Amino acid sequence: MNALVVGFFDAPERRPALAGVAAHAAALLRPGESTTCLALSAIAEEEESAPSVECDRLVLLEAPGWDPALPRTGVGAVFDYWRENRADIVLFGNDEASRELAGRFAAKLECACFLGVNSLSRDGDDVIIEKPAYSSNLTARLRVAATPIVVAVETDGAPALAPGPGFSPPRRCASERRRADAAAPECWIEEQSVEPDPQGNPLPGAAVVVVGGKGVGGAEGFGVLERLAKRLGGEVGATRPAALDGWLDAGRLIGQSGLTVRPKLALLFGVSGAAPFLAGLRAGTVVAINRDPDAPVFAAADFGTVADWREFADALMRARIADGSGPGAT
Amino acid sequence: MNILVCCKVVRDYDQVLREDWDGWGTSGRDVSYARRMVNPFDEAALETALRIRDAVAASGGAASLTAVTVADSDALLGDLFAVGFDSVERLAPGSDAAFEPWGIAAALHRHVERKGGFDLVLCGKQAGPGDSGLTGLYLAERLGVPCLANVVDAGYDGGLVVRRRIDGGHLRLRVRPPLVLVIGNARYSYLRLPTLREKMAAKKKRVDVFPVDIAEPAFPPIRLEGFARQPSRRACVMVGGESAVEQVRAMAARLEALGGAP
Repeated sequence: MNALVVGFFDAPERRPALAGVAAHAAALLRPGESTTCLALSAIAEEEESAPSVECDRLVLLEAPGWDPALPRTGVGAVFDYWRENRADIVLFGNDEASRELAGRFAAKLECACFLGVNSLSRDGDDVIIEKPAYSSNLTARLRVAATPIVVAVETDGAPALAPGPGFSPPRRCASERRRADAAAPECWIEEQSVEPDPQGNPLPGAAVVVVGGKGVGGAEGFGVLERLAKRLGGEVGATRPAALDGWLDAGRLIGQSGLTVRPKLALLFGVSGAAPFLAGLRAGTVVAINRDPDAPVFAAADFGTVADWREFADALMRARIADGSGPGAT
Repeated sequence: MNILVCCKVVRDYDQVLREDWDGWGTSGRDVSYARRMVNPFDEAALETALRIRDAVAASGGAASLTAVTVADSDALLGDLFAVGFDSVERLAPGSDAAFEPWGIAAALHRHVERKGGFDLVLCGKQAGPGDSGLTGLYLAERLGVPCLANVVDAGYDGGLVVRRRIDGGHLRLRVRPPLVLVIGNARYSYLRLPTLREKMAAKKKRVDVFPVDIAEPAFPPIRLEGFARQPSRRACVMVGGESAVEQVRAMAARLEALGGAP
């Protein structure tokens, strides 16, 4: 079995954790089997800007017309490469652009495809895939007997590697540059423009995250949590029901259908603890504040307290002000 | 403009008891006590389609709305007439299609061809129990039409305008149908409520049912071996106190001991 890892690195914020994906491939393969990393870019990349990944072959694929904001523009380049260099399993990251690219690529290959894969293993010649099911309440175990297989794998925090001088692969591997045929022009698009988030979105990189759920009761409650987050030097996020009720910008939605956050500390206020939300929370320490002592959120927390969220938040705020500490201290 | 929305009715998994998830194993549990609901992403797709139809009508045009599902039951489907769908169709697979996104996309593809095509097809991003997230992508590839995923909003001002979420912001596109829109965390995520009059009128309408064969062995079968509940890696320590101030103090002491006090 040979693996092909597909990623792209046009802009740091769009760069999937290629090394983490390659680590999944490395864990799956046996001696004598090989991994090729295919790194897509719309422009020719300098070799020193190549991502540092554990693989046997690194291919920098210049794919004119490739735009990560429109992942279908990369399908042709990946498909053409795969056709010439068959791989049994093709791995992508689990970011939105990679998932879309994986799905469309698999449809072109007419092969089995799985997104959001947590783990991959081998049992004889079969590949065993574990992925979320039932809105992340359960993990499904699936056995696939034939290749090719396309997967988008969770990399669980493996950092995207920044290019720059002094950058070198962890072990020497063959590398080559290639140029794909230009993607066909997207004639169905008459006009397109990017509307960037104001000042980017600091939530994914925050060390402290304060999260509100439906229990917070409304947008006014999120105002309280925003002030608290600022006082703690952190950022505020929301569960899906709260975000979709418009209590906080949908760009701050945490969970299976939103962002995955990895703060050192997460404070959860009025959060029930539904599995789709917890799927996006990979915090060092989790503190849950909920009025319901039986709320499922406590099973997913390190520390819990049964309290009214507002009283707890106000008391925490007053304690921080009395300390005179925190970036928001005055 | 002919608009098709692919949707699915699921159980509300938030209502399923913890002991049922824990005992799910390979045979599953009876969770019929959990209410049925339209899958949330599909609900957003249905409402987005209604809003496009309203905008087309406001521009002096006309749009027809069809909802289609692959299911063994008509549950909740009749309500879609009341909110404004012209026709509601159910593809009856006769077998469990929960983990068959390829087969579902193939059945939808054949149905679309049979109906003579659509200008716009909307799907939700993902639905339980399979959580595959693939049906819309597969369908677009099979139909040979462009697809925009992670769409948060779509409207019409004489042309179709779509906003999709990308890393660091949104991409706004003015596009020409035909295409597939896969709806993510949409701006309008809840389906509008019908009036009593609309509900009464809808009672006379019937869901059209088409038997379909989901088993399309495009590639060797995938065997679903079972399910497991991920055990929580955390053992919650409950922190008490007579008042919120005491609770905060006690919590801060706990975090301090970990070196993680905010």
